[in-house]
Amino acid sequence: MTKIAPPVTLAEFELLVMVAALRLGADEAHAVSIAADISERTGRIVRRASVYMTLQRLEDKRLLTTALGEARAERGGKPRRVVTLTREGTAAVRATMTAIHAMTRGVKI
Amino acid sequence: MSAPRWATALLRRLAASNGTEADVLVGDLEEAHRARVARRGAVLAALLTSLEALDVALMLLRRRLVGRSVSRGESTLTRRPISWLDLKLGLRMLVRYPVLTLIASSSLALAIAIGAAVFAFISLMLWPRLPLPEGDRVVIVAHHDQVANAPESRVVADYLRWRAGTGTLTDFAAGRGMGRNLTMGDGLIEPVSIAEVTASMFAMTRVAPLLGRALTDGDASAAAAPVVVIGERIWRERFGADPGLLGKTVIVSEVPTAVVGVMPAWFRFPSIYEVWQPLKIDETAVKPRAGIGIRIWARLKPRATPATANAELAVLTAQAATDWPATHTHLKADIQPATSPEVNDPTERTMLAFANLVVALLVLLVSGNVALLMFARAATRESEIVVRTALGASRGRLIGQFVAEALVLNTIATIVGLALGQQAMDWGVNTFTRVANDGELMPFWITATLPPVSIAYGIGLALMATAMTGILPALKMTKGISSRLRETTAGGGGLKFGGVWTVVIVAQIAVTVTFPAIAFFVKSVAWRTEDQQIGVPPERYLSARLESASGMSQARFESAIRRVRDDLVAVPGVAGVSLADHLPLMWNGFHVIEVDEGGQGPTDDDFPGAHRITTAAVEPEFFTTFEAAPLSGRLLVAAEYIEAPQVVVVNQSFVDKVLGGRNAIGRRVRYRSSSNDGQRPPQQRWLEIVGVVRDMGMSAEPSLSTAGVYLPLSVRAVSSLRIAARVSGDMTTATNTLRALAAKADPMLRISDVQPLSMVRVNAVKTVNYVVRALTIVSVAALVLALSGIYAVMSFTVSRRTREIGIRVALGSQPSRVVLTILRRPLIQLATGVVFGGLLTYGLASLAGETLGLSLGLLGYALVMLGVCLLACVVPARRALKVDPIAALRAE
Repeated sequence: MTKIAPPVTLAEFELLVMVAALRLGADEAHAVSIAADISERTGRIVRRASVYMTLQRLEDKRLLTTALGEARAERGGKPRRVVTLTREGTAAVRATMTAIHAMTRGVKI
Repeated sequence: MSAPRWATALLRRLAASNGTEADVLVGDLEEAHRARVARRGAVLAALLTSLEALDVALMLLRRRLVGRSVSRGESTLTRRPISWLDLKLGLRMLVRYPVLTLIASSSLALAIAIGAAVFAFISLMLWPRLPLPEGDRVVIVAHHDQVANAPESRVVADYLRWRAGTGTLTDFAAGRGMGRNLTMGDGLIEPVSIAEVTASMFAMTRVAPLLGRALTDGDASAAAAPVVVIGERIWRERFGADPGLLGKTVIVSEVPTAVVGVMPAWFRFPSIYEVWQPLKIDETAVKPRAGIGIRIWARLKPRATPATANAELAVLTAQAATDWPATHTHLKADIQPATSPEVNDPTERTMLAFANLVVALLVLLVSGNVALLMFARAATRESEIVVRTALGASRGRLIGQFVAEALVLNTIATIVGLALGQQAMDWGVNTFTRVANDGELMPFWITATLPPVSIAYGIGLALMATAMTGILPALKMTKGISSRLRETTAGGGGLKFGGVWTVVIVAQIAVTVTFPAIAFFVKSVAWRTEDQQIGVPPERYLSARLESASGMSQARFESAIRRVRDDLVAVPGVAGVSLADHLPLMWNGFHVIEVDEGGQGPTDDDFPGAHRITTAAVEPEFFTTFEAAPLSGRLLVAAEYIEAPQVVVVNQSFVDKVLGGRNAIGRRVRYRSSSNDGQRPPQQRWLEIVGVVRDMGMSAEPSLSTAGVYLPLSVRAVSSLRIAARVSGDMTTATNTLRALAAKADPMLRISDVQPLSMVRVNAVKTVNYVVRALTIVSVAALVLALSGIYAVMSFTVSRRTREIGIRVALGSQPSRVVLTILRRPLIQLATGVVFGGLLTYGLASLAGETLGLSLGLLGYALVMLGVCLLACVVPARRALKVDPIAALRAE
């Protein structure tokens, strides 16, 4: 009988990055837009270096993939590295959210 | 509106070698920057983007240091040899053991400082580089007569033919150097080195003037008014950095000349020059291999190499030989480096390279000691290491942790060490300039800045130190860790100091014993120098150097110096004046002489059958000026000042050392022509000794003032002399009077080093004291390190054998006897080190000729050092004596 590995759960900032990438969609999710999205919605100051490190870590864990996008004029003609969640990544987001909901349900905060 | 250029350049540099990655990072920076500009304005956006770029750059650096990505948790620790966490732990360990951190990092810093500075200094002496933009492309085009085997500098015709550029060389320039007097606005005369150069020299060096303009081709035309470009030092020191100096007139030798520009202080091209004038060439009258001697410089074209340039020059000189067969048939041109090493003698070059090796060994020794301290500290954490092993940490992981701790320590030591190295370099170059170069300017490529190659060397030494201080203790700590786990739980520690540590301890103690002794010997030179009596107070004597400027005839020089002397004698407050090639306290090198019928004293080991003496050529007035009455015989008289003198006067040391105290009058001496000490003999005939005078200091350092011979001075044969005046009045007034008299006597007469004679001694003592200070710092560092090492070993031994001490005491042994047994091994190491150090000191002292009474002194010194080292044993020994057997056994 094969044992099914439980889905990976995410740390808080990892979760924020993954959700931002989901929200922005495969064509628009990249380091700058992810940092801006988290910053706008949470009011936190987000260091882009932290986003780079987190994206790298999540890619190492195979929770997302990156690919080169098109070169754009507003970037000085440089390409973007766009982010797409893998199936494991989506599962990890779902599992983390479920865990948070499960833990917070009924708790007055 | 783009992101700051430095920020994008920084990210590009730090991004992975993959260019796409750099493009993405720079693109992100640009995108974020544009968004910020729209929201917050350009200035704030530039500031925030710069900060963000620094943050990302740090992240990239961190990635480089510890791997591609940084994860949290223990899982990363098992994947990488050194993790970020290891480095943090290393930092915490430094804070936790502040004394060890201070001792280890300061010792390593000092070792790295000495290593980097010595390497930089040796590099400058052996492999100098021209500090110009692309300076390694600047070359000298030198001509050589292959038949006469001599360099040929009359190459103006060749320069004019090539100056437009050849296939491999461009930016041709020419020039020649000379010494002249520069009369400043304040009326004072300063001897300066002047370079007459073509205007193209400034373009070739690619250095812009600090003020005004460089020379132009127009300045070199025959009708042009005389102009000069001066160096920043002269501008600041002699003209008070007057910005309105341009256009004003100075006198160069006797010619009023307008100042048109000021070059930066560091620029002294081609070597030591601080004044540049146009090289005037009458192109209509140039003939091949005739006229003035010049030097030609050029730059290698971008793709040219020395080999291709030489190949082309061979073709060009063959063409010249065809065109000018009468003069150029045997001439060969090739390119040479534009710099010349300060040390050319192969033996000296080898010795310098060897000195570098010795310094590297010193770093190795210091590293070994720090490794010892690290090991002792690690030993106190044995249980932690055993637990980590039990929990699954591999040996590689444990070693990684030790290396990370050493890396943190060595990084701090390297930063401090390189800063100290820069100071040491500054000191070294200044001292070398003062001592070896007699205070003259050094070539401008001898700079006091630590060059990048030395910084790289210092970092290399630091990595070597990291390997030693990290890997060695780690290997020792983790060897047989599993079996130690069992031993530890069974109640006995298996960790011991091994043979490597014994060697390190003994070597360190030996060096520690040697350094203060060397410092003492050097200091004793300063004491002897201060104490030397020359029979008169040197502070009452004014001295100066008088030289002829380039182009000054010998007759004019002779007339000028005689006038200065005669005028100075007439000045009130001056009691006597004399000329000499060397004055008392000034070192004149050795000469080798033979004495008729063989000398009665022992002859020199290096020159069998002969003696090493020093010589000074003096006027008859010299002896009266320095109040030296004949001890026997008579003094030199004016009649003996002929072309080929046949008499000499010697000093008392000559009688004692060369003649064994016998009568000197009537004996004859002859300078040996084949002496291999580098000094040309002043005379080659037999010379009769006619008188003996007291010792008057043939050098500032008395041990060098061996036997001395005074020859009659022949002014006709020299272009540089010293003048001495006995002053009974105010010395400052006399100094200014002498300068004014020299200026009045002849504007071409160069006067320098105008100072009381006592300054020769003061400068000599100051230089020696600099060396003593450096040696003292090294000695103190070595002593502290050695004492810490001994303390660490002793403490370690006591802590490892507490149980044994308890059992022995419980069985009735005397505590003092137990302590002696336990500490026997470290004490033997200590004694061995002191003995080796004593032998090393004895050897070095013998080499320096310090043998008298040394044996007793050495024994006393060795005992004192043994006592000092034993101080480090006091605390561990007391700790061992206080061991309570019951507590020790219960604890186990």
